[in-house]
Amino acid sequence: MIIADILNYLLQLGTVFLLATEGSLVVQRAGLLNLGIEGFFAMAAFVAYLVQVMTGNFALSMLAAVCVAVAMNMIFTVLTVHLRLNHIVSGLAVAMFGVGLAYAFGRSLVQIPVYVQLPVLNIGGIYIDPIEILSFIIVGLLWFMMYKTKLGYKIRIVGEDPYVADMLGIDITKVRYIATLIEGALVGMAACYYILVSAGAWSEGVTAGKGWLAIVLAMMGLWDPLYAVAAVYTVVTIRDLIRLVPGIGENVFLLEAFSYIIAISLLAVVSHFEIKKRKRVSIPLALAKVYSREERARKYT
Amino acid sequence: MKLLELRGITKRFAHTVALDNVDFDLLKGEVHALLGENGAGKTTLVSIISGVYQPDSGQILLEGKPVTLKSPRDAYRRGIVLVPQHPALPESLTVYEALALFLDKSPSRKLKTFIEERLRKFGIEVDLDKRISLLTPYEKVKVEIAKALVADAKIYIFDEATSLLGHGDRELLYKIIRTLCAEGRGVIYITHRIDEVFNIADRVTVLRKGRKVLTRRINEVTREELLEAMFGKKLEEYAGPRSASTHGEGLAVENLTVQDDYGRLAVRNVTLSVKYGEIVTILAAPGAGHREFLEAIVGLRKPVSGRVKVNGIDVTGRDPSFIRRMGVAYIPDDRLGLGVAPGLAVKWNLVMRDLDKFTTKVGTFHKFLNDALVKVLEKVGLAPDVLPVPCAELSGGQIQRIITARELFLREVKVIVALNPFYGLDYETTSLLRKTLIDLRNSGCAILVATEDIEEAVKLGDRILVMREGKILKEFSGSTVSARELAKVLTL
Amino acid sequence: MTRIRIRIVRRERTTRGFHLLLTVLSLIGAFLIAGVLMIFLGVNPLAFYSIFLQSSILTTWGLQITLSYLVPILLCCLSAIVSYRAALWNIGQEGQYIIGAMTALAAGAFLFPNVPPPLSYIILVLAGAAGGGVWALICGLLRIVSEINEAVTTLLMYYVALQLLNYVCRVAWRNPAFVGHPETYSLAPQYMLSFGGSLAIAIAVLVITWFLIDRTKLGLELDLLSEGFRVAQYSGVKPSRVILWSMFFSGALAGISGALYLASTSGFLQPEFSVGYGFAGIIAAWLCDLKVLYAPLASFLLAMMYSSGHALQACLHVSIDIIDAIEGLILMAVLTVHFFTRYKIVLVRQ
Repeated sequence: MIIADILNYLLQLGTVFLLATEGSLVVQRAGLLNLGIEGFFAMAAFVAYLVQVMTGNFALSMLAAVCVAVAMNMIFTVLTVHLRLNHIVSGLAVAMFGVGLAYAFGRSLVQIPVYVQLPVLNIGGIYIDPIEILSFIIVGLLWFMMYKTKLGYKIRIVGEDPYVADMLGIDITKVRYIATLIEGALVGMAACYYILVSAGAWSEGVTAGKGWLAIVLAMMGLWDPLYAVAAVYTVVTIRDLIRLVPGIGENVFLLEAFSYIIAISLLAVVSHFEIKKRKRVSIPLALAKVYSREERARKYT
Repeated sequence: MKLLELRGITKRFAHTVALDNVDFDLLKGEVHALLGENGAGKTTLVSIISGVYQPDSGQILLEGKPVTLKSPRDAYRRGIVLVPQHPALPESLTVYEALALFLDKSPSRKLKTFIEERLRKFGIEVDLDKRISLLTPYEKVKVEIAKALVADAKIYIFDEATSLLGHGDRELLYKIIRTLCAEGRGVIYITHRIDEVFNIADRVTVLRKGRKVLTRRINEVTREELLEAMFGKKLEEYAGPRSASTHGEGLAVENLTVQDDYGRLAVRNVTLSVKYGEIVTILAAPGAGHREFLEAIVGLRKPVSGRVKVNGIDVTGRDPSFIRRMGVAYIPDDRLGLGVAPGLAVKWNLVMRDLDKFTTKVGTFHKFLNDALVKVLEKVGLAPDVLPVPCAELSGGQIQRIITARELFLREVKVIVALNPFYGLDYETTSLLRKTLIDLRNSGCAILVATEDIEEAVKLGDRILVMREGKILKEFSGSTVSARELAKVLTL
Repeated sequence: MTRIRIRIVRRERTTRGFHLLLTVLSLIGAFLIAGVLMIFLGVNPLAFYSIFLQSSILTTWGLQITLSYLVPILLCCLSAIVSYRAALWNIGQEGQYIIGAMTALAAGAFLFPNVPPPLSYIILVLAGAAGGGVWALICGLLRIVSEINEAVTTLLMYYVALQLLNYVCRVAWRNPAFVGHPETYSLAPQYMLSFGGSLAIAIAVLVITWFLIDRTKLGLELDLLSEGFRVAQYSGVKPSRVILWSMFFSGALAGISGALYLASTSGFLQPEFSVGYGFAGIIAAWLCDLKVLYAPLASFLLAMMYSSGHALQACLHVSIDIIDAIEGLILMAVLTVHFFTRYKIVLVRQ
């Protein structure tokens, strides 16, 4: 029974990170390194909680979370795509803005727990709710989109070399907007699911680090929707099994620090492997690089 | 009926005028050749027609209607496709996927059949299922041509497309172009080879220093007129005294083999020596391996095998700063990408190669630094007030003067290596640089210049080597060879 | 037919005055938007502005608090400048600040508790520098060996540092004398600094950093690295070596920030020790356009934000987190200035 409980717990957290990671993956594939995810994860979680408290309607909360995440992500897109600003600093600005805003408004709320019980499918003691199923469907859809559709090709090429994409007649701005739209929607869902189903209440620092971890997980999964599942569940398992160890008490902080170190080490190993295989694995080589057509073209003349 | 008309196109980059009030037009079913030296503005003009650049002023008319070409995609939608000089293809896709993406269609059986048929019609052979990252640069050019052909465009632009193609494929390209014209499309053909113009074009326009010099029907113009138009007074200029005396071996290269960025062998087993007091020029077509050869000499590329000796000392595989300290100067042709750090002030660009000489043990700069810099700027004809200006804001000629000042005058150099040093330069800078090199030869430097320009090779070289496919093909003496003879060997 | 199109065009050189004007305008813009946020939070924006100014500069007491925040923010700002000049994106100053304080505490409370004053201060600074420096150096190594973006690793290392801070406060170095709130043992008394002392050390570090970055070839090496690996290699700069030392230098500055703040305030660590000076430093670095000499001014503005936070909470019942949001706004505004100094928007009539 305990094993089933642990699996349920991991599946729940895994779903949160899986959705957010897949979102970050899409946008990184389009060449944008979006650190702002931390900010709109917080804002989306806060709005989802607020709407749930006010209306009690889960679907409405999710819709609100998705809308907020998408809207905030647009700030990042405008800064980096139109104003050609540094991705890292722009992302940091959006992150600070979002986190600050969410907790500033959030503190004035009465922090009542609002655990949402979603209908579940019981398979031998393991409860699977619709969002968990959806997360895996989304993985499949994203994989299909990335490798089998025109849009997926476009996203990959834009991330690999925007100049080439431009010369192929791809509308880079549009593709990047679509990518951030997908990211916003997925992160909004992740945030809503996290705050209402997994955490169950708004509290100080409840979302801290979730978005940033998603960025790392996307890199660890080599920006591939399927590999990302492996990356997410490996790290979530290591990270969160620690908390369940009986009698761990305050040593949990040390172990949690350790779990981040494991995540970094895994990323280092995976990246090292990836450098050698670069000819075969397609990766967003233009990640975090600002593109301007005329300035790029000049280098060739 | 005019397919395309450009009126008064002007384009500026920072301080240079790349195109100055240029008019151009293209009729249905004709090949209009665009002729000019390297840096005359040809590529800028086609970049404007294909939507890469926006003109600063002027008008573009497509079939009589004024249009704005906002992006390459916009130009493509209006029926303009470009075969660029440097292939720009998605490395991670297969050829077929890239073509499908270019046509903005999802991959399907039907589409593949269509593409195969279309390519067969034009006689282009490419492996549609091969990944582009695995293609050679030469195959990539063919993919670029295939890409243009599958699109049903009104206007085709070929930008120096033959520079990377072999001889047989050149004939194929001419055939393709004739087919396109027979179908009533228009072709703009950019080249710097006069022979090609007579071979393929109906009309020719010559650009020089960003200005249109002439537009004529091909049967109304002679080779001499075109040469005159391309080079102006450059033709009757200087063919000065050759080296008086040489002594000792300044630079010795033994059996050098070097790879290019794609891992192909770009230089195969080349041996050469440059004596003090002589200029050796390597004449080569783009992509012949001369770039990799020079980079291996100055330490920017690790050779696969072979030896490089400077003044008798083995420097094979040492880093660029070590070789610099041995008294070697290198003038690269990628001025903004390698020659200077564009974001930094001229002052820092001048000292950056000789930090060991201008800094104290603590790392601070010597007090005499500024005086030294002012002095070398004077030698290349620049005023000291450029010192605080970032290089990105200077013209190509000014940047080349800065590189020259740094490489040749800030340290006592014995060996000078230069790659396409005159590419895209204005007249004054060209003469200054040439005079500087000849003066330094006369004072005993060993100089190796690789160039893609026949005139420059003849004017400078005491000995002239022709390089093709990574090998030295033939050697000429500078005092007896004629440009015509060289051109023959180069286009064998 | 005339249509008007918007085009973004690269600007020719701009003057320093123009830059300054835009910066001031952008700050005004950021504060106007902050005022709008206040309305949403149910606060009169005018009250917000007045409390902001009173609690940060207009009262002696407020000014003192502001100055006490100036030191850690200034040092984190220098840390950001050092790494950004080389186009290395160290954004984990907060983590390096925590680790710097922890190593300083380890030195001052456990390893060398009996060292006399002048030497103790040197140990304090060196310990902080070593801790923060090594923390950032790890990310530099990962960048070289595995090509991992240093922005991502420095951020993750911040979380590691945060967890370690919690661990030492609650378990490893917990002082049992404090019941209830988790706090560590204190620095030995001879390590404690007055505010003036920490400011003096900070100014000394500022001058040293300015000298190294603006007067020696180290600064030029940073700039060359930011221009790309090939140019750096051509000019004899070894990219990996510059990455390592500039990451260490950057981390060391943030580490010193943590050590000084620890020694000039309580002398012990608590989980609330991390309040975001590292992130404030990053914003200050962009605000001063990565110029070391303007860093104090930019850091002072950010310090004003921090000192007004508590007053806002006490007087207007606004959560202190709003400071983060306003900082985010300032950063966006300052970044926009960078766009407008490099490009201009022109309307083209066709």
